[in-house]
Amino acid sequence: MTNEFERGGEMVHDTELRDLFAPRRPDAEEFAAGVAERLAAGGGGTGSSHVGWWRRAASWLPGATQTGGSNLLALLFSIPGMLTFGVFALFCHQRDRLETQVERATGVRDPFWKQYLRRHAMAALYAALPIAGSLLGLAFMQLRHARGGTTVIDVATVVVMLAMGLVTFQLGQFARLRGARTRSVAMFVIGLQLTVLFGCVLWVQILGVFDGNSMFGYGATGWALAAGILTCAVTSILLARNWVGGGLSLLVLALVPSTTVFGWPDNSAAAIRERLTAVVERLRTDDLGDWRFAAHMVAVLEEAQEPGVELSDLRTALRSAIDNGLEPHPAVWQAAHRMGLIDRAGWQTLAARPKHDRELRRILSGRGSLTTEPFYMAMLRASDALTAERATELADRTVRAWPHPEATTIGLLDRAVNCIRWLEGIGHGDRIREHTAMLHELLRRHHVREADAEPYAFPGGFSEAPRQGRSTTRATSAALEVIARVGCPEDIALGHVRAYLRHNSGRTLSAPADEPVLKMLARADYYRLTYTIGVPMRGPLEFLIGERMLLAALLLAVLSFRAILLAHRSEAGGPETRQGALP
Amino acid sequence: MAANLDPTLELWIARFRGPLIGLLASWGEDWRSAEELAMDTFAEAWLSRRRLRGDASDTAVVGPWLRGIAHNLSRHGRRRRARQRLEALPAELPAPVDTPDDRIEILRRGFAELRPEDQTVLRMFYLDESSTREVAALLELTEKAVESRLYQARRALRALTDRMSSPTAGGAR
Repeated sequence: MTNEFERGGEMVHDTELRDLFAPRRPDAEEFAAGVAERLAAGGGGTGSSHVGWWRRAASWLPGATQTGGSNLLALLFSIPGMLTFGVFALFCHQRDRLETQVERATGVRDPFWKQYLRRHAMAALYAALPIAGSLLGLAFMQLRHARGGTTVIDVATVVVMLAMGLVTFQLGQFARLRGARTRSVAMFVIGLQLTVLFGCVLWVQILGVFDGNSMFGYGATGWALAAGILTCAVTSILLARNWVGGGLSLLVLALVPSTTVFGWPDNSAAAIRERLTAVVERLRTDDLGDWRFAAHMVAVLEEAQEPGVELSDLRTALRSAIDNGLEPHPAVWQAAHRMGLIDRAGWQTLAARPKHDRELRRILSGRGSLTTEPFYMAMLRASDALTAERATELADRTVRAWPHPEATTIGLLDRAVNCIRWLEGIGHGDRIREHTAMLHELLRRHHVREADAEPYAFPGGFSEAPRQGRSTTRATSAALEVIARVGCPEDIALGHVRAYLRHNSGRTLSAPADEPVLKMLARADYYRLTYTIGVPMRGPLEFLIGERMLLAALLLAVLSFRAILLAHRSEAGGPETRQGALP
Repeated sequence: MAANLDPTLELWIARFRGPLIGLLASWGEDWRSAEELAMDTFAEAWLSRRRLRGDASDTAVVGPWLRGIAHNLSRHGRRRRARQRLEALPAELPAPVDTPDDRIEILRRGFAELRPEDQTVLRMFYLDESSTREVAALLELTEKAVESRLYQARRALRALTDRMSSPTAGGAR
């Protein structure tokens, strides 16, 4: 064997080392495009927007940020733990107060100073109840990281709600039989519901616990509780002139719509059109941020055969850009291609530009990438370069470019979607189904199951890279594109995907134009999943189990209302007010 | 493909792309992840550029800034992998195993025998068209120190490849 190195030199030559690293050298343009893509998506963080906030909020709690083992003492003496005991003490105190009223009704009275202290202590505690209740959720956070994961929280929430329902039922009986003041009963049941609302439902949702088997989710549970509190507050004002307590409750209740987690579902075609109109109005050819999302919403409406929105201004703007030789970001051409905004003459003009001509030649010669920029197929078609033989050849190359399901890099779902679009664009869409098994495996590896989700991250969606514990709206959107073509693997529950999209697409008080585009994307995908792809129907038992939280909330609301009515009836005709026998 | 980036960001990328990917690869990322993390780093750095204190065109200012962001992103990724009980991939060697070129294959094997700090400086300098200034800024060393490390690494690599390619060493194929 001859030594192939240049002997005699002390060092390895520069050229040898450059050759050594050549296969790893990044493509400058692809790299810049990757950075631009991240900037368009708002940076590297692609998870839920409030995740970081809550993580920071959790960091001041002893043991709350530990993701591993549990420490019972730390749990007991942490702020959530102490708050749990505090709320429990509050309930005991309320019960004591009600008993006092009964004693009073029967003629046995406490000294004045004791009543005075109780009344003021109660007022202070009641004002703090919603705040304490909201922090009670932190105890659940501890539970999630301590033992049992999210199942513990789910079970604990249902048990707490049912226990409160039982207490409310007994309170109604107590009020009916022994007499308790309507105002006290009303404040007690409102306090219970507020605690459930702020302490359980709101927090468990924020913490990433989701009810994947529910059609309505925690948001609907929150609204059911809010409706119950509203009813009780108004009833107590009307029946017992409880202006202060009822007014305070309504004030606290007014906070609910401002919390994003209780955004009401607004996933109709009309809502998509409304948001799309707002996006289209601000689209410019010299930016790239919202084009992709607008194209997606247009495609979803088309797929569902719903009326679209007026796009003539965009057509004019793109025509002007083409005529003036402007070269926007490829994402703009890609979106324009999906929305059908450029006519044949426009694509011909673009294809004649040196930059695109070079790329088209590369594609036709077998060197260009087929996993990005499917808009080049429009140029191929417009320039009559796409013969049947070439289309077959390109389809073969596209099939060879499918992402390998066992690859570990990010963007595999996007790549699969691009391959699908290429095949469909060149008239070989029938070949997509040949790869169903591989695409299903790709979906499985990107699906974020509840057990695999990172702390505070919502499961149910799909991740940017295989085996990641954080769903993103973009990756979920790409996964649905794939599912729309080849169906969903049996071991991925579409109900969980729907729960993830529902969480990310709820409508809040912000104006449509100010809504984040990722929320619009999630809304469009929620609509697509519900009306185009379809989620499997459930039987009656599955429905009851799935909606257990909502049913428990409704039960609590009804029992609370009943307790107030019974107390009022008893008070109106109770021993205190009843006329004695006339002499 | 024109990415329409701000000229300052383009300058950062042009200067630091190769060294940063090389640095991330030296921290245990595989090459593909290193490239993705480098993209994340530039995007994060640009979005939070207001926190950069100093001249944004000064290599000595931008280098440590990028290194800090890259370190945080890489650490976050490792924690995530650890939580998912995935083992971190070992630092990859600079070229695919199945390369048909014997010369490159011997170099690759020699590179694997180098000290980690020598590997790092070679990765950062030779991955792309880089200068010692950017490598020095990222490693927070002087240019002289980087030149010295490069010299020592290339000498060590020469010694290793000579040994591997000599018939008695049994390293030649």
